[in-house]
Amino acid sequence: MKAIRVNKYLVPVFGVLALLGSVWVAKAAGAWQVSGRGVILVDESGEADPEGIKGWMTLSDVSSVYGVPLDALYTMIGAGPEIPPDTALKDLEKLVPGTEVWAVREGVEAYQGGSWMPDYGRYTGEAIKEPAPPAPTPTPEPAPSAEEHVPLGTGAGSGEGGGEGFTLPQDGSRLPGSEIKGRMTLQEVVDYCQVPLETLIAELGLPDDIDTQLWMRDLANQYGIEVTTVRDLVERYQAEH
Amino acid sequence: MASSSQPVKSPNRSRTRLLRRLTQAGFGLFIVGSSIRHYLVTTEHVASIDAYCPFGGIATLWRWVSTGGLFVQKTHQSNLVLLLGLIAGVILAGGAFCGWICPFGALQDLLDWIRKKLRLPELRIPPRLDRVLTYGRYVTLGVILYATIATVKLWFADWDPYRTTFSLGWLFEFNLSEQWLAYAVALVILVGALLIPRFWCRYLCPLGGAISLLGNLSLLRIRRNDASCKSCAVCNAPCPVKIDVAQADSAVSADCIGCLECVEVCPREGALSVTLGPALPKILRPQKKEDVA
Repeated sequence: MKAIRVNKYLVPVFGVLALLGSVWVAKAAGAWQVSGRGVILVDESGEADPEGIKGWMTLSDVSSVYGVPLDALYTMIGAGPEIPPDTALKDLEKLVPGTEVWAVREGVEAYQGGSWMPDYGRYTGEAIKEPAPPAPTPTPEPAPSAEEHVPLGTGAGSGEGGGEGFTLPQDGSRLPGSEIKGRMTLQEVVDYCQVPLETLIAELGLPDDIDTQLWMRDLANQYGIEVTTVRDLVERYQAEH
Repeated sequence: MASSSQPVKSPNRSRTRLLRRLTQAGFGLFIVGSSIRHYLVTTEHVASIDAYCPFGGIATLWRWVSTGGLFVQKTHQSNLVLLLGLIAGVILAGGAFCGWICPFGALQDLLDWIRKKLRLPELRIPPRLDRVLTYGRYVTLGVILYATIATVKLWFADWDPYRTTFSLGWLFEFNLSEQWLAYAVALVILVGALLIPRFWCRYLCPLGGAISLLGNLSLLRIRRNDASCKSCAVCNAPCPVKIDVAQADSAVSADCIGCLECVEVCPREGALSVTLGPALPKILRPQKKEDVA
């Protein structure tokens, strides 16, 4: 088949029109989305996944999307109706000290999983009120209290949930990096995820003498390292080792 | 018959070049304007330039397909839309995106213009080494795709010289202690582009690599008519990506960015022209010389 000579300007015209045309068509079809706002993350069953809770969401959004009554949500964050329902989660910290997006995320997850109820008061991460059955593995540890920070129990916790929102694998294998929570300490990450402390320190750029009892959420406050960063790092390490 | 290898100045060439510069400037200003608005406008949500990058569509494609609709962080539906538009554009018109639209390509063209104004010498890469180095684009593309899939985030974003330059973080949120690597990479690439025309595009650009692969299928191609061409090589000099047009196969390389410089300077009528032809990869094309109708 012979090639047909055409106007040279068809090259830029087609190149530009194809790109802009796709944008126009997408806009006309309502498919032009330039931010994650308004996008709700769903899990495999099609349910809204609390992992998708973002700072731009309002209390009202969280309540309607994740099925947490507004009253329960207020109890969860330790606030009252003086906080308007249209308050974005990212603005909560200023209004309710100590309330961060990750806490709402975990609180909603605990609510959906049944390990936190409004009767328990403000969600602190220590949600289980009923004692978990004896752990199949090593040393039993005292149940965490709301007032003090103690290492997590290693019990499988078949009762009302997984304690801090995660369950250690019963076969003694390591905790997947994706299960790391803001209420875990650095030492717990080292122990449960089986990743060397030196690796975490080196990869995250932490000081050598860092307090290993520091919570993951405090890494963000003190060193600007988000929990998701630690998760990613540990997942990468686990994939390689 | 042209016996010199000096480019010919013609009104057409000036007009084409002006059109190209204006188009590049338009897209460049849109991206810069978006970045400025992203930093300065606080009363409404303004998208970052991440949302306007077709390569974000490539980076997030695997996650989007494998999860049934989830995106890698910082990428959105717009990235997939632009990727579709880019694919359509490449199938129609080859690498015109690189030559007419990409703001980072435009910036490198600007640096090349500055080099000429400053009378700095161009660093010429020997042809054999040049051919080897062009594979760097595919290496970059492969590494980035693998790492993005493995880490489920825009792995390359922190060092991407395009993003570092055009997101304007260096202007609004300068942070040497945290961003030094990104600044260093961008600086090396820009200095490279000052000395070697389109340095990033020719040797490292992952999007350019993908476009080059797909460009083998493009319908509009610059073709060289062997019967008319006297191989004077005038067309080689202005090519920003240093394609040996004078010795090219009937269809000029898939690395062509469609700037039309070679067509404009060619002194022989019909020797180089834009043609609409069958989209066949080089290995599938018949070996005999093609005629241009």
